[in-house]
Amino acid sequence: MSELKADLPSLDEAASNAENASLDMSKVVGSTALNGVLSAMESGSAGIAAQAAGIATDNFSHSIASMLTEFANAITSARNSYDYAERQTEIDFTSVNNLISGVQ
Amino acid sequence: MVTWHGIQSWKESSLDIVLDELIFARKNAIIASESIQDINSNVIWSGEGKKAADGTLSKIESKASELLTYFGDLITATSTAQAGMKNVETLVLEANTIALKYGFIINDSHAGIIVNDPIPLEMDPITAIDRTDAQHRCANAAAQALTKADEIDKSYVSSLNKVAEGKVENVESLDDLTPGLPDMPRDGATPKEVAAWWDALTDDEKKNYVSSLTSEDAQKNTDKLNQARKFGNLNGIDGWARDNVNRSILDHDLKEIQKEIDYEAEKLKEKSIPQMEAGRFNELVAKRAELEKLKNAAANTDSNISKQLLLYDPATGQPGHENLHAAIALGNVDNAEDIATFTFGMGTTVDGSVEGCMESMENLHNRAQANGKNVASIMWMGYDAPPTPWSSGDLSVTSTDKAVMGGDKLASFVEGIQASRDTSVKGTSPIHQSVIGHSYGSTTASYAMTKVQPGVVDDFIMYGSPGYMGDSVKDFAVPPGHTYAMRYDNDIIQHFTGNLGPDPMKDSNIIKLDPGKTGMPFSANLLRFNSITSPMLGQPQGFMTALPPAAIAEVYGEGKAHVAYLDDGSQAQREIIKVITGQNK
Repeated sequence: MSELKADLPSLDEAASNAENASLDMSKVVGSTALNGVLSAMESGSAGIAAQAAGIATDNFSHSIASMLTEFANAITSARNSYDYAERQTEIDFTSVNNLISGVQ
Repeated sequence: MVTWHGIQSWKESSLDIVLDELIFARKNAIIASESIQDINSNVIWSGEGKKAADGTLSKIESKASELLTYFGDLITATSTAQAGMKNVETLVLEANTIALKYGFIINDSHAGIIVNDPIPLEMDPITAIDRTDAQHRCANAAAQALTKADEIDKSYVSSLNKVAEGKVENVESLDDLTPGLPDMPRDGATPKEVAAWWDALTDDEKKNYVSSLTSEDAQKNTDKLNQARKFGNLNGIDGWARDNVNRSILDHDLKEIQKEIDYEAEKLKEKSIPQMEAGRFNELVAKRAELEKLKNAAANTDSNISKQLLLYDPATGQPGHENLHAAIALGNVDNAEDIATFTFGMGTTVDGSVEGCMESMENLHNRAQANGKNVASIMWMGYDAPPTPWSSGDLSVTSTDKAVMGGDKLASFVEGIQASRDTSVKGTSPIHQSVIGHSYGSTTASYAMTKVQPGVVDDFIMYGSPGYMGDSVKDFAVPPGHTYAMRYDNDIIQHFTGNLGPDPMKDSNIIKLDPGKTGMPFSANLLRFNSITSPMLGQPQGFMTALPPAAIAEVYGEGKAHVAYLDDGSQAQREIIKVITGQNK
């Protein structure tokens, strides 16, 4: 947990930006493209390898999207516990960092 | 392991959709990455939490960079595989064509390719030799196709596996100019590969890339300068980008030459040597004059015609590149409906011909645009045209060597235009492309037509041609009925046909355009010209230069018809315009 000083609109904006980034990242799909290799290179091994690479890209982009969602959640959570008197809160990125360290 | 049966269906174009979608995915990844970089912008916060947020975001940005490397590597590997598949496709076609002609059956086994001839060997010896030879050629082409296909497959699998296993290398920051993609396409990349690399960049990335090569800082950095020189002449890159970079380098070179001239002038002054006697000084002055001519020819002085400097490649002194190579488009090759590339013949150089050629091209271009069509007309001087023998003693005009060197470059140039205009990477471009060759330039262009990829050139004109390369017009990758020839009755070139290849005017498969009359009489002097210049084709070097200058001038004057085709308002010019604007369809 880290101490954070901020104004509320800023926290809202950061959370919203992170959610948008997550949405953008969830649209990154490689498998659709790479599935086409199988029919294009009949009898080769590239088709199967391309499918595996496609799955890897999709998994990777989805995991980054999840990190961004967690990041947005962390900010939203901090916003909700915002102390109006002190104009500060605490923010916890443990779950995001756990996600990051779990991805190759 | 790839099989002969399997590679029958390998088509270069079948990877178009894969590449297009990978490029689409990379662009989405760029959008997402920019969104990540924007998370903290305009956010007012501070304290330890801010530092923690920055640290976490930085880690997420690194992951996004890695994802872009996945896509960059996938695009590069797929594009390389596609270029290789084209070779496989050609070899398979070659083997199958021979097999079909002779009735052979091609099989592959663990022992390799086997070509069976079902006809018993009870035939005359000549037929037997022919069939055996064909059987070997067929087996050889099939085996090469299989070997090549196997190499492509293995190399592609290796790249795909690296992505699947998350073992990508050279991860670049999101702030790199081309994150995840190489800074330049690989050496020897085909125009289609170049276009795929360029297409994979977003519009902003493209603009930033060009700015990075044209900035003042770039001009002080040797590596950047070399990169810019290479980039400006890369076939497959958009015209606007090549134009910007080439103009920037041309300006840089002019400044550098001026510095050298000033230095040499100072030296001469110190040593009291007259400038006329200073070889290096005069050489530099001549070089500056040539570059200035090119700069002026490419200058956008007429608000009605925009120009693009599509090729700027100073002489290296190496064989085939002893002259400055350049190409200027009138119009915009990035959006024109009709794109016509003109190449010229003997004696043409930027220094001696760019002004005259551009004047002819501007006249033609204005008339071609007059009917409301969006045309780009390109003056292409991208090869060392042979010099005039009477001024140089050089007889290379009697050989096809320079046509071959130039033809390869011309084929790549027009393929590059096509690739840059393709909608994404796949499918055919909506543009109508023509190639027009004059004199020896028609021989050069004809060789290009034997090398260019099918579907690139829609119409091909040879005018004032001494002959074309290839056994017949069927060797040209031009749609049947779209190769044209034109010659004035009194064009002196008719006396020099045959040495470089078949006369296109005598080929019934080539459509003849009618240039009308030049108004220049065909005089007996032309026959005299013929009789004295014919030995060029077999006589020792220097024959022509031994003639009295007055005699040369006289007979050369009679050859004016040869250079009258682009005269403004002439019937020949109209015939060319009809073809390049697709009115001949």
